[in-house]
Amino acid sequence: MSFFGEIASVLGFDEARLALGYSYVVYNGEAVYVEGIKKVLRLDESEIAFLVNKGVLYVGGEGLTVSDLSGAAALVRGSIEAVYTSAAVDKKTKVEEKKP
Amino acid sequence: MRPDTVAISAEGVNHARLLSELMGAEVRVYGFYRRSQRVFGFSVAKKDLRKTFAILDDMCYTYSADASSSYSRIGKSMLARLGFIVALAVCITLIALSRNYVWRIKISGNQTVPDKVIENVLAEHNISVGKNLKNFDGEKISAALRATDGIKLASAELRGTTVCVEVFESEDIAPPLVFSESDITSGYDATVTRIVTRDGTALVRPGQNVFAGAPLIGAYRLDEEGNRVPGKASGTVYGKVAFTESRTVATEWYERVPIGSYKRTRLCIFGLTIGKKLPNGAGYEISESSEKLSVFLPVTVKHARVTRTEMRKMSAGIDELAAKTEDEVVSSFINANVTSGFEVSRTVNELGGGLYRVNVFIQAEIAIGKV
Repeated sequence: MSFFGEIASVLGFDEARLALGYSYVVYNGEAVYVEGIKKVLRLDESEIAFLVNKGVLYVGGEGLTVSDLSGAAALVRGSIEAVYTSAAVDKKTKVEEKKP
Repeated sequence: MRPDTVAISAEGVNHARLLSELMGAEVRVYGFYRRSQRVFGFSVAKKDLRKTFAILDDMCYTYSADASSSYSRIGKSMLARLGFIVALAVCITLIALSRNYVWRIKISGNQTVPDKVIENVLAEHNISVGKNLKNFDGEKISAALRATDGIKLASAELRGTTVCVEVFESEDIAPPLVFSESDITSGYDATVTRIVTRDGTALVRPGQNVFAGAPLIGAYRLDEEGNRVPGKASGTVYGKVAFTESRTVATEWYERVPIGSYKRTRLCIFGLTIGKKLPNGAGYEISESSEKLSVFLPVTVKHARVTRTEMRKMSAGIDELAAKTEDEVVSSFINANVTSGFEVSRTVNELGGGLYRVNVFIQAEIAIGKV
């Protein structure tokens, strides 16, 4: 069982449900491991965007590189400042628009 | 770089799409990096190379495979240097074989017994440069060396392929007592202090002043009637002798002083010297030593220490100079003849122009007799 699979079993998620979604873990702000990637949408040194099941997952930071890309998993290295989803970006935009 | 991977550098714009395409084709990508806005690189497994090239071709990327895995690269470079590897193997074999032979003989501790004598003793035991080391028996060689005239102790041992011989020479035997057929006379103007007569007749008494050349012990004996019976003179007569030495010193002078040095090593093969030439001229002092390598070729290693010097104006006080002059005179005077009663004094006279005359007076008891 994978690392994420073990966590899923502790949380009571079934693996099929997990396989449809995405998961990531940040290592000390120096690397991000992401599973559940469908495509790489954007790739530059300050932001990498992955297409995942429920939208887009952004990894923001400095000097970002994809050091390993295998199947649906990627390892991004660099100075990791944020990992956020397109849903979070949309929500933030709406909040900003409502402000007078 | 991971083993069994190939590094690819490519040029194109949509890097993200390329990665997505590779993902879709189940190609594992390692170490993606960007060299510039368009140029980038990554590695893929060898087995995925065909699929990768196909994707790159489809996307109209310009690309090149830079290098294969480190293992195969090493293999290829080794094949390209087959001659070097063969030569290296031959060298290693020769070195391994040469460990069984004497490469060098190092002899130390001898001053009067020549190296050649020691080398001959070694040769009698089948030890010389180029000979097989299986004949080496340190105990036997040491015993043979100890049996050589002039050698008291000896040791022979093997350090790698070098035979190291250390000898301790026999101490000189004291020369036989001289019995002179003629009188023993004084070598100095002196005041006699002690007389030790072994043969002959003492002609002076303690406290007596004698001039240089005066007889001290006569080469005869007196019989009961006071007649001289010719014989031999032998003995030691001590006397108090006064010496004076004057030296002119300057309080300012120029002296060549070292300002830096460096080492230089050169090789000399068949009379041909390899290495940088040594500098020459007044500003350099060079001390050289050479070491002959006992290998099959006549190779000499020349070590040189080059010291750069310059003239500097020096100065010192007259008291310091006078003390230094006194020390120099005393150290040149002290020898085995001096026994006791050593007294030193000095005076200084100014000559003008920074020059001084230092007069050193020495009084000492020495053996004054000479044959």
